[in-house]
Amino acid sequence: MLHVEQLDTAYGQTQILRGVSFEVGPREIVAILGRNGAGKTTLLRSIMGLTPARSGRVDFKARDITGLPTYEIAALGIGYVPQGKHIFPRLTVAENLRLGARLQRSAEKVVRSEVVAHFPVLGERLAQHGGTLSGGEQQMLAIARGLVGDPELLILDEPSEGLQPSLVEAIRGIIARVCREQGVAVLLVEQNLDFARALADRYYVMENGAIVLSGDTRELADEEVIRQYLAV
Amino acid sequence: MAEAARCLRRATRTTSVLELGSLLTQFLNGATLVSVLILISIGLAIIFGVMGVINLAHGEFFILGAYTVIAADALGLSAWWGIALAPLVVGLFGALVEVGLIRFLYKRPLETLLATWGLSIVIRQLVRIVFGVGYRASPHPLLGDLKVFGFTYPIYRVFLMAVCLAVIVITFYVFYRTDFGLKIRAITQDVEMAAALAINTSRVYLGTFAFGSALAGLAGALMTPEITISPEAGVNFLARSFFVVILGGIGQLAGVLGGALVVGELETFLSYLISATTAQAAVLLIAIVIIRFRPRGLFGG
Amino acid sequence: MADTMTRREALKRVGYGIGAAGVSTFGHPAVLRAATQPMKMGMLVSLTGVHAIFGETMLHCAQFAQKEINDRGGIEGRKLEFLIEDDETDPKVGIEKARKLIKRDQVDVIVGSISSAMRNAVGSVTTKEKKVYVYPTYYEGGYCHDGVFVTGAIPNQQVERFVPWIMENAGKTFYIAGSDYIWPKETSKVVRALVEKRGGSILGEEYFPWNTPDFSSLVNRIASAKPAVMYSLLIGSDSVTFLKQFHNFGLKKTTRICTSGVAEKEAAGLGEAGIGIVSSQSYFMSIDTPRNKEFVEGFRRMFPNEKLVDSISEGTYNAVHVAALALAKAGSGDWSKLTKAFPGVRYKAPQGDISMAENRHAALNSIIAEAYNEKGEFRIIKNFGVTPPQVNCFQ
Ligand SMILES: Nc1ncnc2c1ncn2[C@@H]1O[C@H](COP(=O)(O)OP(=O)(O)O)[C@@H](O)[C@H]1O
Ligand SMILES: [Mg+2]
Repeated sequence: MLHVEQLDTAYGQTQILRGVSFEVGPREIVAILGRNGAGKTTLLRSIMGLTPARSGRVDFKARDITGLPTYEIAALGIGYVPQGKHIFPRLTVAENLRLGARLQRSAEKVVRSEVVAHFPVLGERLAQHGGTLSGGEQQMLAIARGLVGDPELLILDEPSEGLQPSLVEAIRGIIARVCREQGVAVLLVEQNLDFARALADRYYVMENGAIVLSGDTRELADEEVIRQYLAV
Repeated sequence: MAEAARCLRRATRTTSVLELGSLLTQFLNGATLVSVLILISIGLAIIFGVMGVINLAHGEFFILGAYTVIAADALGLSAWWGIALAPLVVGLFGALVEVGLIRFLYKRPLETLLATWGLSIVIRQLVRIVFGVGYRASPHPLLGDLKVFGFTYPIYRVFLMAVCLAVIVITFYVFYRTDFGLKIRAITQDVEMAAALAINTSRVYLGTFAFGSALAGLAGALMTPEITISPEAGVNFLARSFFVVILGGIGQLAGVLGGALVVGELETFLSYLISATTAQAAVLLIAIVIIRFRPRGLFGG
Repeated sequence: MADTMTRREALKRVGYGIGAAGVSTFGHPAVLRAATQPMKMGMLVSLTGVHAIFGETMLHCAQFAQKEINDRGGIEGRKLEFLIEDDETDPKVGIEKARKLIKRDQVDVIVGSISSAMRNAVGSVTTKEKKVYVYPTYYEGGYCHDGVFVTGAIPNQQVERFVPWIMENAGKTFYIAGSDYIWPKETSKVVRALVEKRGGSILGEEYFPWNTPDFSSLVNRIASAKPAVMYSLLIGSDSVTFLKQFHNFGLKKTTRICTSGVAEKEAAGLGEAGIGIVSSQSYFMSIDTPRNKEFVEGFRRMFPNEKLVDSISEGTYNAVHVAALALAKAGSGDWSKLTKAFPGVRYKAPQGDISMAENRHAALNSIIAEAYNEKGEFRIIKNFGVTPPQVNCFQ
């Protein structure tokens, strides 16, 4: 589904990603773990074409998408939920969702879609501006917006960041259910180990812009690994 | 001091001759100026609000609209044809400018400023080469008065106000009721996220620039009976519309309406009471005071 | 920025076809050089900016005069050479360019400028550097500096014969509106004095800043005051804008527009709105004399794209000829010789005979004419003949 090979990305003179390679299979949930500043967000932005890579290659559905403009990459079937949500604050919830559905469907159809049914809080706030929602509601909106376009791959950048534990749990539940139901593959960036462990099938650990470790999440219990790569 | 005394004398003299008809005329004069300012400023505001591009050639786009009427006239077409063609011609021209120039300068405000300034010089020179340096006359499409209860007002000015109202309605409709408008608003708020939702941002920019240009062209064509048509004429209007946009609040569609209302009515009414030079200075002063206390403009959040 | 400037420069060249004028005189034996060296005239005109509309034709008229002079053997056997500078309608640039013409190009005399501001700027340099300067545009009068000569009309020449005619033919109640600077204000003083002396009245007098987009308030006040005559002293594009709006409000039916600020170029921008306007100038293109016919036809042969000549461009044409005659009398651009040579110079101009008076201004013709078609053409109503300049120095 998604193949990333030897990706190098830099901001100006500062090289951030150093030869990152990994893959996400169909219907698979893959987590990328790593401390703050490891380069996780940069990796996702490079995949989306927001911060174009210097070298390396990204394939999606067996097609080379390196260097394509962001809107074309997104149109191939990738939903992107960036770090910090980035909902449109002065658009209504319904308008945010319609944009997520790529303006292909009318507002009523989008609102009544199966995906949105999983987010009951949003249904009550359709006419409200995005900026008036609480942090948790905004995260719900960002995830719903990422899913409502029926993507084949959902990219999530730290969805649990800054949320209280009950909300984290709710969000985890929704992602698990919707993605399994719709058969969406997920690329999840997280620092919350429990959250990642509960959702993902496989994991990669990043440090200083490179993948240093990978494996099955069920085997991710080794206290030594956690201390070395993940603990603050 | 002397000036103030003279204003006061003048004001008292004027009040004595103020009659209802004259007052109504004065109100309509103000409304016409407001309409014109809106027509000219709205394209500038949209292009800046959406793309962050300060188009210093906006006044020249306006002039191109006026010269479209001149060209149509030379081809034997009526002024109405000129007015209908102007937004198409100037909109197309704007699209070419976006593809050939502006596109390469996104996110580089200083370069864009220089480039559009250079563009304004090039357009002026092209107009001079094609149409000559002199003033050009244009046919008046609709000479005559509207008469209501013995009160008369030039019918073309009423038409101008009606068109302005229509343009406002259309613009608001496009912005708030169409998919294109939704994309524009999304891009204005978060361009990267808009792209990540599969919105072709450069196509929206192209459409926005063409739309803003077309509005400038329409304004220029509509104003031909009321202004001096010369290659240099764009500069006056550009200065005033910047004034309107800054006063109303940069990037605010409603701000353009408010800014034009303040500038237009204030200028018209003050220049009825005091000397025109003092009135224009007073409007500038009032605007500076407003911006001092509301730096983001009357409608800026 | 540098890039844009170059492009601008390049376009300018394309637009006007101005090449660098430079004739090498090196290589001649020193004795011969004095006789064969050209006379150098600095042409300081607005080729860009708002006054380009007048500047371009001014330059062309000057070049036509230059051609006539050189075709007849030059000035006492010496070729007349032009050094052309664009003042960009900006007095600061005018000062720089005047200095350049004097110091670097070492011209014998300078001709040019439209606005009073530009004339003051250029005059401040020429008087200090002791270089003779000829100003060809109609203006407020009163500019009295050594070595500055004027071939344009001043208020007494434009107004003295005109106002009595207006009062006889159009009415005795006046409204005056002008651009907010010295020429309209000085002219209006003369108009007011004449009107009031003859039992007429001024119902209103107003001045407007440059580039006023909307004159409807003024039109509204004129409509309330109901004068017989609207005397317009608005200038350039403001004049055109006002007169269009005046026409659109239908006021031409009741109030006659009389002006000393509208000529062929402005009228061409008015089209239908200009018809019926009465103007007073020292020259109109439609003067029906063999001399004027020769001038207009010769000019059009040289510049086929030029449609209209007005009093400013004819004044420039006259300035070149008058300066050439004075240079011939003086033998060189030497300050004391040349300033003495100007008074008394007579020239058979397209407008009629003109001559330079002792007060450094020219005795010019006073002509009134009416715009009668949409092309900006005037029909002569009355030619009063030569009016001597009455100068009260105040500048
Ligand atoms: N726009 C930027 N310009 C320059 N450096 C950046 C920029 N964004 C991130 N960085 C740097 O790149 C490195 C990786 O950042 P990021 O990808 O955000 O890490 P993570 O998401 O893993 O916390 C950090 O050192 C950060 O300071
Ligand atoms: Mg991050």
